[in-house]
Formats: sequence, structure tokens, C-alpha cells
Amino acid sequence: MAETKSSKKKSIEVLTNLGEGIYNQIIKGENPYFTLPTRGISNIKYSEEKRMVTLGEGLSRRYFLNVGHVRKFTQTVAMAALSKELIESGKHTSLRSAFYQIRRTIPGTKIDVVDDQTETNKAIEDLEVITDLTREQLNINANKAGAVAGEVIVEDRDDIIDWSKMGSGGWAIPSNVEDLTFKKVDAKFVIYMEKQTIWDRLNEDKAWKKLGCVIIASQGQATRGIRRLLQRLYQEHKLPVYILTDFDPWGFYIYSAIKFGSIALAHAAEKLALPEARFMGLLADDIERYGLKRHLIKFKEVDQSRLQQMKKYDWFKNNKAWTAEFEKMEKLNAKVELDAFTAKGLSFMTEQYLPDKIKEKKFLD
Amino acid sequence: MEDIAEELAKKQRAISVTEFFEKNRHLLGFDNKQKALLTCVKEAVDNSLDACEELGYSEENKKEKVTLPEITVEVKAMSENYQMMNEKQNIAQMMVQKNVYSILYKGKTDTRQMRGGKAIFKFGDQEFTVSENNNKMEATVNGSQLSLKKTAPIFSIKVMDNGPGIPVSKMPDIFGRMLYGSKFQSMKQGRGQQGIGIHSAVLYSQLTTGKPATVVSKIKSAKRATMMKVQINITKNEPEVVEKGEVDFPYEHGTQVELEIEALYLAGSKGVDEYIRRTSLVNPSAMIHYTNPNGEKINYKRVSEELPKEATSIKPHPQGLEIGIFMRILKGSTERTLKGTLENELSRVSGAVADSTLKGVGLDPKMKATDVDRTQANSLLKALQSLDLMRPQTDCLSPIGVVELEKRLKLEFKPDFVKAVERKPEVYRGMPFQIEAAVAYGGNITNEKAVLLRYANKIPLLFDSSSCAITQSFLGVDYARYGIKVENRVPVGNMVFMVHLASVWVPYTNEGKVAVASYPVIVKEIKLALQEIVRNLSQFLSKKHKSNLFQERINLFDTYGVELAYSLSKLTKLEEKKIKAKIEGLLEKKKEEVEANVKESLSTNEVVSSKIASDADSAEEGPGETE
Repeated sequence: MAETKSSKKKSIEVLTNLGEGIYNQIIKGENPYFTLPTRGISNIKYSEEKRMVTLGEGLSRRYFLNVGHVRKFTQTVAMAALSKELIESGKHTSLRSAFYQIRRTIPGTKIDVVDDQTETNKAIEDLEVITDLTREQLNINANKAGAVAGEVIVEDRDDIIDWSKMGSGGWAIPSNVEDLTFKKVDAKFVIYMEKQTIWDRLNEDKAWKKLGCVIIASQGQATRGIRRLLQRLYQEHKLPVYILTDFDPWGFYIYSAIKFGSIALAHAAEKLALPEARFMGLLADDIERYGLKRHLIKFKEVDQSRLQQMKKYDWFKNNKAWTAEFEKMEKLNAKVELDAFTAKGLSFMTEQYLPDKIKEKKFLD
Repeated sequence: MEDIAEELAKKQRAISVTEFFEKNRHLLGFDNKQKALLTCVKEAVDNSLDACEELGYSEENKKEKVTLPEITVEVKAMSENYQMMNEKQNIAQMMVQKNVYSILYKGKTDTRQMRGGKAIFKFGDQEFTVSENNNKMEATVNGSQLSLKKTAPIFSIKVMDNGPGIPVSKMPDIFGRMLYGSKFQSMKQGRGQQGIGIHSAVLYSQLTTGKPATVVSKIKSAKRATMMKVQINITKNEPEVVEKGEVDFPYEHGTQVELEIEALYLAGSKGVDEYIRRTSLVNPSAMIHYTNPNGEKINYKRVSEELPKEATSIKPHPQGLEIGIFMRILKGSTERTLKGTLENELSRVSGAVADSTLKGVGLDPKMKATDVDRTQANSLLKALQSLDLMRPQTDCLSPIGVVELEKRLKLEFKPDFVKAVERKPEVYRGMPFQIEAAVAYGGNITNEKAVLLRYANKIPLLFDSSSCAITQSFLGVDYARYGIKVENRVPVGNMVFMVHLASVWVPYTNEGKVAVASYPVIVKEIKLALQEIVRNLSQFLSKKHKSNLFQERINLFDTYGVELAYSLSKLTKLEEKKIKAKIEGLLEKKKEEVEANVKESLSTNEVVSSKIASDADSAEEGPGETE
């Protein structure tokens, strides 16, 4: 799904229409506004059918002639103008740079259009929902983070990249993966892990070669680039995606965000969520089975309360397997890190744990 | 004042005037040297205003052209002042003005010029020498060394008016006899009730500098004005004319008094400058030219070409009578019978009422009023006061006038808002009184909290604010109810309040006559007057707040409009200027809507108009999202 001339043209058209729409309202003597889905928590819904966290039907209008709206209204239009310029000149900018590009003092006043990056970040999110274009389509990138290795060859801006020949560091996943073209995909599935240290371990073991998979890591929450890459590998090449995290509420939430989407990014759920992702561990049963009991780390209060929150999520509360898993965790009142496997031998995960999982297909959905 | 007069009359033979003065300094307003300056100015100015008005009313009655008051006040620092002391005590006083030296010794003054660095003064067998070498001053008496101690400087006070003038024959008594003119108190609103009289200022001048008062006066029929230097013979309480002559006078008629006194000049809310300013505020028909000791000339303009309504005298109403005054009415009565005295010299006492009351206390209606003794008078007065008599007539008062007051405040403060109100006359203890109140807001008023100006019978009250009924009423108003912020019960904001109590008899808290006593009906009237002006002020402020808010909003949209035009021109490729013009057109068109929003948000106390749905942006964020 390379960036085609038409998609670029479409983005420009959408942004131009937005500007012209506002201009027409002005000359008609109407209070200019645009409509956007309400992003309040009240309008966040879990869709059973789509199996993702999405925005509800709630719409709100943002007006220019409204004391409470005027600043955000102006910021959003300023962001649209910046985005249009970027697309036209074929350049990309980061969230941080976007802030600096918008930030200027309104002539003849002491008012800055934006005061800090949270304002531009919000403006970008608003622009995404108003235009139905993703941040990537608006040529605004997040920071790149994460690494990938595996038997896949891609083309990125005229360069051919072979994920199996990227050495110890792997290939750094760009923040915008929309322009990637998959040239050759030999891998059979994808393992995504939250920890760079685990990825390094598996990469040194050439686990991706032994298991015939792609290994992808982020540090902490998966970035939008990574989520989009996982989605594309699944959608375009039917590669099952398995998630590997620590046995703790935070690890589970990383799985949850990849699979169902997140509250903060509910508006982009369709482009980011991957309901077909499966959880491969760590699970409570693994602790017993692989003798990790002595590596249990006692819960802190904050861990326990996070667990209680997650139990109540719409997408978990009716899921028997997950409910059972949460209960076991609650009972244990402790967590276990993936790194504990190295106590069994450096390559225990590559040689024992992962093959077991794949063979038994014991994944949580 | 009546009590002091009575007391003095009794003791006059026993003690000297000087002693009386010394003992009663605080009551006379001479307790310290700052206050002394103010008191002297005040006595002279009050006299002048009263005299001018009296002339104006008589002209009015004769249908002649009315002379409006024009008063010139000049306060000047004259000289330095030293006390001359031997080892034991202060024996004389020396005043120095450039190279003219005066010594005041035992009530006598000798003035010399310094020649060759030395001056010699003789008082009988006492010979003083003063010499100056290298700016060092030395003094001796009969050859023995004296030490010199610098004290308060000497000020000259000059007050001139265009009043009726004083006949030559009366000039000595008015200025040179203590308590002259303090005749039986008339029941009439006037400034005179306030002070102790100009003669006490003359005495103070004499005691501190040894200088007589210089009085110049001209009545209309005289060709030239008469100048007299008057002092008080303090052992006999008689005037002494030291010098007399004829001089020119700038007006057809009028009086000028000049005094030299030992004093301290301070600026600020309790100084002479402020006293003059406040006096001018309640005398809209007067023109006042004032020169202060710093040589600054301030002209207070006349804003009204008409004198305030004349105050008429009324007879005392039993309800407000005190025994001392009642006794004097009885003793001074020229009526043939006691019944006649009650009927004709008191207010609202009919012949029938007099008859029955006298019978009730066992007094013969036909007896002579002068024969009633104090005990009888006491029971008679109590009986009269227990009756349900008609209230006294209240048309005898002379308020400042609402229109005049507002005009004067406008001139003074150039305020954004001014409002004056006048209450109907009321009665406390048989005494008619009337309250006027005003407020000025903004303009050149810079104080952060409201300032209260108190007045009684058009005299500014500068001292003892906390025990005054006016202050207490002022602090008792619930300003918050009118949307005005308060701090320690005082409204916050650049505003000036003024309250005037006019009465035939102002009830002061004490002989100092600086604060009004808190009679419930007086407090109630003041509060009602203040509430009315505060209600008006509040309406003005909320209107102003609305228009500010409206302007702020228009400005806000205007500001963001600049940015919007810039962004839109990038999106649409249209000219930025053109878009800006269209946005301005939109704002012009939508003004009413914005205004409506302002009104709505004010009434619902919301910042954002409730008319347009506000968007909720408080989405709960997922944890640890690395975006």
C-alpha cells in the first residue's frame, strides 16, 4: 500500500475542502464550525462486533465564535494548513517539530497560537477525526522506536531492506509505515514483545529463523508505526500476530491496546487495532509449568489497582479465559518478568518456551 | 459648647482666660500643633462661609443681586522658632525670619534686625543678646548663656472673604473677647455650632507667637476698609486694639483675618489641604482659592450659581431639649407667664397642652418663667417629653442639593459614574435632620479601596472616624449583596463615598465635635441613603462589566481571526487580506450574537456560552501511551 499519487491528492483535497468550507461559512455570515466525534470518555464504546474500542455516535461542533472554542478551532485550522504544506512539498515532520512550526505570535498581540506541545498534539488528533485522515497521511510522524527482524524484504523510499540481514540491532521501524512495500514475505507469523531486552535475546538466538517468524519489539507501549505494521502484516500477508509480555497488568494492557485499541486513540481504532492478535504469554499456568515461582515479584498497590481496572473493561469482563487469568493473578498477588526465563538458560525461550507455545497453539484470545 | 460657655461664665472671675484655654485645649481643637493649624484655618473659613451665605440670603430676601461666596485661604511658613532656656527652664521664645529676629518674653514681643552678627533685645531689666557666627547661633540673658531648642515653626494664616464685612465698632469684640457671640443657641442648622469661635484661634496665636490678629474689614457703606491689630487682654478677657488704620480692600465688602501661630503642616487626609478640598466639595456655590505652605495654588471652582436653600430657625422641640438649654429659655423669657413661655418659645406645645402639663407637675401657669428653679424645670421638662407631641417641622434644613453635589463631584474626580441621593428629613430626639449621600467611581480616583468623606452641617469631619455613626453605617452596608467586593467591610475599588448629616443640632459623640453619635434613626437613614447609591453604582458596574466582557470577546475573536485568515489562505490559496476582511465583516455581523452570549453567560455565571455545545476533551488517557 504505497503512498500513491491519488492518496496524496486525496489528502490535499480533503484539507482544501476543509478550508473552503470554513471560508464559505464566513462569507455566508455563519459562525464557522466543524463537526467532530465527541472524544469524551462518555463517547468511548467497545464494539462487540468489531471487537475494538471506538468512538460512539456522539458528535460535537467546534465553533470559531465561541470563547471556549476559538483557540482550539484556530489551532486545528493552523495544523491543517501546515499539513497541507507538508504533503505538497513531500516532507514529513515530527510531533515536536509540528509544535515549533505552528508556534508563532499572532501579529500585534502577545498571544501565541500554541503554548506547548499538548496543544498541537490535540490539534493533530482533532484534525485526524475531522478529516478522517491518519496522522501519517497528514505527514506527521511519531518518534521511531522499536526493531524488527525476520525473513521479510521491504522497499522503503527506493531502498530495498532485508529484515534478515540487519545485524544485532535489527531494522528500526519508521514511525510512518504507510509507504512501505512488502517485496517478499517468507515468515509464517509475527511475535511482538514489549521488551527490547527480550528481542535482543531472541535475535541473538536467531529465533526468527528457527521459528520462521518476524520478531518485533517496542519499548513499552507499541507506537502507532508498530501497530500499523502489525496490522499490515496480518491484513496483507495473513501472518498471525502473537503478543509476548510480562505476566503483569501492564503487559496485559499492552496486549489489550494492540488488539482492541486504546481510549486515547479510539478515533483511529480502525487503522490501528488488530482484533486478531493473540496472547502467547506469560500466563499463570506457565509459572507452574516452567518453574518460575521463585521469580515472583510481589505486587505493589498500584499493580493491584491497575488489575482491578482492567477486569472491568468491556472487552475483558465477559471473556472467561481472561477473567480466569486475572483471578489467578489476583490470587498470586505477584508478577513475573519474561527475563526470568534466562535463569533456565540464556536460550530457554528460543529452544523451549516459544516452540512449546507454537506447537500447542495455547493462545489466549 | 454651651456647657463650656456656662462653665466658663461661672468660673470667669476665678480663673484667667489663659488657664481656661490651657485646661480645655483638647476640646478647643488645639491638642497638638498639627491640629492647631487645622483648627485655626477651620474657624476662619467657617466664619467666612457663614457670613457670605448670610449676606446672600439677605440679598435674596431683598430681591437684590446675590453675592456668591469667594474665599481666599493662604497658609505660609513664616519663620523658624526656638525656645530659649536657662539651666532650669524655658524662659522665652525666639522667632527667626531671614535676618529678622523676634523674642517673645512674658507675653511681650521685641523685633530686631541682626547687625554685625548681633542683636540686642530689652524687656525692662532683662537684656537678651543673640549672635551668629559661622552659622552657629548663641544667646544670652543679662550675660548668662541660654541654650536654644528648635521647635515647631511659625505659620501665617490668612483668610479673606467677600461677605458683608464687620462694622468697625464690633471688630474688637468679635476677635478679641473670648466667648463673645456665644449667645443663646438658636435652633438653626449652621456651621457655627461646630467650633469654639475665632477668638480662641486669636488667643492661641497670642499664646504661641505673641502676635495680635490682623483684621481687615469693609462694609458696603464704608469708603475704605478698616485694619485693626487685635489681641486679648488675658487677665480681663477684653479686646485690646494695638494698631488701627485704613487700607484698601479688593471687594466691595468683606473681611480678612491674619494670624501667626506655632504649628506643624502636614499633607494627607488630616491636613489643611484636605480640609479645604473637602470643604469645597460641599459648598458648590463657593469659589475657594487656596495657597498651601509649599506655595501651591489650588482653585476650587464654583459649580452652582445659586446658594443652597436657606436654613430657617425653629423653636426647640421638647423632645430634644436638654435641661441646661431649657433653663436658659426660661431665664431669658420675656413672656409674662410660664404658660406663655412654653407656648411661644417651644415647638409644638399648644396653650392647652401647656396648661395641663403645668397642672400635672403642680406649677402655676401664671407664674413667671424666670422664677422656675432647676428642680421644677427638670420635672416640667420630663413631663413635656413624656407627651406624644407632634414632631417638629422639618423644612428648616439646608441640604447641599443632589444636583449641585453631583456637579461638584464630577468636576473634582471626572468620574465614570456619580450618584447623589437625598433622604427626606427625619427626627431624632425632637431634632430634625436630613441625610445626603453620594458616590463617585473611577475617573481620577486612584485609591484601591473606597474612601469615605464624612460631613456634618457642611463641615468635613477628619478625626475619630471609627466612633462615628457615619463610619459605622457605612461599614454596616452589605455591599456583597450588590455585587461589590469588600475587604474588611470596605468596598474594594476606586470610589469615593460621601455622607452629609444636616441638622439643627448635630449630636456629636463628645465636645471634640469630630464624630456623630449613633442614634438608631440616624444610622438607619444613612444606611438607606448608602444602599440607594450602592444599588445605582452596582447597576453601573455590571453594565460596565458587560461591555468590557463584550469588548474582550470581540477582541479575542479579532485576534484569532488574524491567525485564522493566515491558515485559511494557505488552505484555500485565497488572499490573506481578503479573508481577514471577510472575518471582520462576520464579526461586525455577529456582534449582536456575541453580545447576547455575553448577557447569557453573565446571567448563568458561565464563561462559555451555553447556547453552543461545548466539546468535552477530557478523555481518560490510557496508561503509558508512548506517542
